[in-house]
Amino acid sequence: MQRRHFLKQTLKAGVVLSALPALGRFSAQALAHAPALGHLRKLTEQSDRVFVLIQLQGGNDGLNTLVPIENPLYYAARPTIAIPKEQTLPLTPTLGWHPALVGFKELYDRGELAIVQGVIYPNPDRSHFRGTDIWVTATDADVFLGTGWLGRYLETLVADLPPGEIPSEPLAVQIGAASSLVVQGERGLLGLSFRDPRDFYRLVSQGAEGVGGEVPNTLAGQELRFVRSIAQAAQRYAELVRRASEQGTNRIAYPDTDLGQKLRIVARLISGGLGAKVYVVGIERNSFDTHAYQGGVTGIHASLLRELSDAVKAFLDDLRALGLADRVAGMTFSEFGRRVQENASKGTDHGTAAPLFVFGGQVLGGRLHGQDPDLANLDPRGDLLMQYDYRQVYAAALLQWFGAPQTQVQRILLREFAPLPLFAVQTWVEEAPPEVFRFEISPNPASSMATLSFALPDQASVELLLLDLQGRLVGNLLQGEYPAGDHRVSVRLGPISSGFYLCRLRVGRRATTRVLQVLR
Amino acid sequence: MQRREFLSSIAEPFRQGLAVLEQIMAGVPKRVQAGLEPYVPSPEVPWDERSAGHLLHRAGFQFTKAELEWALSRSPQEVVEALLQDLPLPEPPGTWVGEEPRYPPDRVLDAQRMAELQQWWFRLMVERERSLREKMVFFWHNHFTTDKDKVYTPQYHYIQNDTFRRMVWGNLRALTRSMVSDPAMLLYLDNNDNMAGKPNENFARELLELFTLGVGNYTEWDVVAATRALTGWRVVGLRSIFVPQRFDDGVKTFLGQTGRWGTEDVIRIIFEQPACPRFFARKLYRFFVYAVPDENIVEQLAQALVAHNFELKPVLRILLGSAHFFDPRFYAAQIKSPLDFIVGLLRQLGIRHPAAYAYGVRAAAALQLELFNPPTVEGWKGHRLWLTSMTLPLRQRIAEALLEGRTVEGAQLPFTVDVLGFARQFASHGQARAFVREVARFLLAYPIAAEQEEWLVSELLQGAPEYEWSLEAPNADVRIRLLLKAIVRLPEYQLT
Repeated sequence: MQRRHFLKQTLKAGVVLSALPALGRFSAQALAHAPALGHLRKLTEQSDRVFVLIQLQGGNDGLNTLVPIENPLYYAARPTIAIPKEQTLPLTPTLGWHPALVGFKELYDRGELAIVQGVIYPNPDRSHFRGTDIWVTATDADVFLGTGWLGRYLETLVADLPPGEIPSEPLAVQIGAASSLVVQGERGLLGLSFRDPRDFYRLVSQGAEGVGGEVPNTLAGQELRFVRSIAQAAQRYAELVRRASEQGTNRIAYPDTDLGQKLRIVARLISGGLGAKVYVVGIERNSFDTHAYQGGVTGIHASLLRELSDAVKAFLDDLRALGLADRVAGMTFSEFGRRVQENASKGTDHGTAAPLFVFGGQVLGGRLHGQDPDLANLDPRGDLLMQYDYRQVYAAALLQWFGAPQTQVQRILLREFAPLPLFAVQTWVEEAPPEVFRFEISPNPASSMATLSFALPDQASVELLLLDLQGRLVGNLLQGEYPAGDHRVSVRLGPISSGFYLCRLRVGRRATTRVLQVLR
Repeated sequence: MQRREFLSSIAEPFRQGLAVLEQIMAGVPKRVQAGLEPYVPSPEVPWDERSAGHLLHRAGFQFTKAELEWALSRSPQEVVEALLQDLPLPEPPGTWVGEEPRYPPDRVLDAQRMAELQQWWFRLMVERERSLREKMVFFWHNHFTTDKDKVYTPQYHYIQNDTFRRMVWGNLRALTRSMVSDPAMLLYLDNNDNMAGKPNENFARELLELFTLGVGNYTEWDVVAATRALTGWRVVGLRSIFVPQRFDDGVKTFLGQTGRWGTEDVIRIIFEQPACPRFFARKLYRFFVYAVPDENIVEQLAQALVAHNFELKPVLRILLGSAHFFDPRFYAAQIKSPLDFIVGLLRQLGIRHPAAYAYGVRAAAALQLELFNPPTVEGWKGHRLWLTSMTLPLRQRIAEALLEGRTVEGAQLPFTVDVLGFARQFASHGQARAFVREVARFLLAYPIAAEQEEWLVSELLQGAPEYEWSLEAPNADVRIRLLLKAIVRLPEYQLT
């Protein structure tokens, strides 16, 4: 769904509003002047594309991820941990996938995964903590910021929200224990973090009183305000998360790994209509910090790569089955790669440039950016030289994926970076009259069940959303790939109150809307 | 601030919270602040429940009513001195601590012993009274980190924990030196594999970055040199030995000094750097005072460390007894760690039971602090990062459930909270309003507002008139439980 175009149309022509005979206590006129309109207008500025950031904590060994199979220097530098050429999966004549990356290879081959080689920044820092901060704050190696690059982007979406107020939907969700600086904005953390949506709801819903008056601007008062803001966000979003988790679904099984289960929850929440634009997940605990006995074809690093690749593969397959493949993209990142030369412990020490992966249905996949790592020209420390600045990937995500304006992207990334061509540029959904798909809802008014009918000229991904009159998602009635022909589907409307709703049918890149009245 | 100083401050824990706080601080008007001169009680900063409570909060895990009364009956300096008193070492958790590690390891047995070790330390935190020691041991555990995933032999964790306790406020240089050859550390950061001609720089890098100097105070070439100089150590059984054949005895240039350096030289040279005492001073400041260090005080603490040849006890005495420490601006300005929260809650409520310790270990882990299992070599960053939309409600539910004698999952615990006994400790227990006020002051570092007091009184009375309240009133225990549950639910309860 692309709400932007739809709502722009709505606002411009008053198509939907004027089509409503009566809006209960509100006339269309009154609605147009209601404070809600500001919110509605805001939504039109946004896309509903979702970005998933996967952090590989500890520093992933790029050379054993994409193996330079024809380079004798690689095999000389890694007597015990090199991946033999014949064990790799074919990528290019000179590069092979690590054998654990079966899923990545398949995604790459079907055009849903792109590779960027040699990513880092000038004067790389080999500290995990400083390195991670540089990546998440998107700064030069000697610049210190307390906000993350996605936090700064998300903040532009709520720029006119008064300070101290929190957005109506969580902008970012982190699946895991900690909160990442990456979604920290000037306003504070712009999202939620939880491990399991049901636990989260259960914990929050058991009650919490928000009593307490004005808080003075003392040191302790500032901390109290912080604690209250967390309590407030948890209260406010718990119900949204529960609903999304209940209405959402997964269509395929995920591997029973930490990352697999985290991505399963992400897919479920997206399909359940949670409005978050950013999801942050990771393989945590510095797992990729393979200083000792990292293994080769098998072993510690191999199983980490398998966990990553299998989980992302399952995630994209699920999104496709859910009809969401085109709305979701993501990338991996790790604070640095590892040294070319293996160390005494059959492992690798902290290094610099490494490949990263961009994935999703609208990613310009099956492409490899950059040259094979040049093992003959290393920096004085014996590490790989940079080919691309990591912010060229961020610039692509902001410009191409989120459709943020150039000047804003420059502000977010502190200066201009040439974006790599990684994502299909946002194209808005074309609004079509309901007759095109012979889209009908009956009965209308409806109470608890309704029957949807529509006709498809070709096979297409179909989504049917129930929105309130402010354009907010109330429910997701239908999702999936449907063959050409006539379709009739009965749907349960769920626990919604009486009133007017918008039923929005999206078929590929076209969409149409009907008004549904619910009487209870 | 010098860029160099700023860099090293960034490398320490709390960086993320720090960044946010610094933004806030920019808008707060500066004022003349108290320095490290001894705190003398005055009408502005009297020695009372608030100031004594502040000292006990920061030097321990909340406090019992008896501890508060003990502190109030002495001078601040006497209390600091008592908190810093050397104590006999505790009995180890079992004779197994002296058993040679088995190869191959018995994973089931190791896991069971690891749990015993966690509960053993947790018990010490709850039961050790009037002492800074266990909190300081935790400081070291969070500084010289080791985790039980990589180092799975519980004996090594016991040995390291015991070293922290023996050297708890001894000499910083000696403690750092002992960590070089500590078996758990050798295994955790791979220095066990670092040998001449085959360097592994994991330990050397973290020694400089996270343990002594901080980013910006050394170069990549110092990492290379230190890595070579720190070669030669091997873990053998429960000890480590120095194997000369594995040592790289070549010439190295480390932090500007050139020689055939080894472990002792690395430690000596590190402790000659001005960044080193500052690094420790800043970390101590954040742990005991406030997340954003006052650089002026940090500098004075660093000078004190140097003046005392890196003996920690006299410097802790200065800091904890200073007018700066007792500046009321810092009261309640920290966010409780999961240990402040759960160990503190058990101590406040007077719960002492082995099952409470086992559950406490588990609860702290659910709140993202599992003993002997820090998330990364940087340890727990703490402060604001403790609280998320998940962990804050979880703390509230854990506290409420504990008051009902249940786990957060709803299982019955084999002990109950004696709420009537708890109430009898307060002289005001016969008068509802005064009782609420006194209990709130005892449990909360942050003073509650008038409307909160009203609400708490109504939680206690549940509609009954105030004059009918007494501990003999019907269901008095139920009502006290409601009051306590309301207090531990307050956002204020997360501050210390």
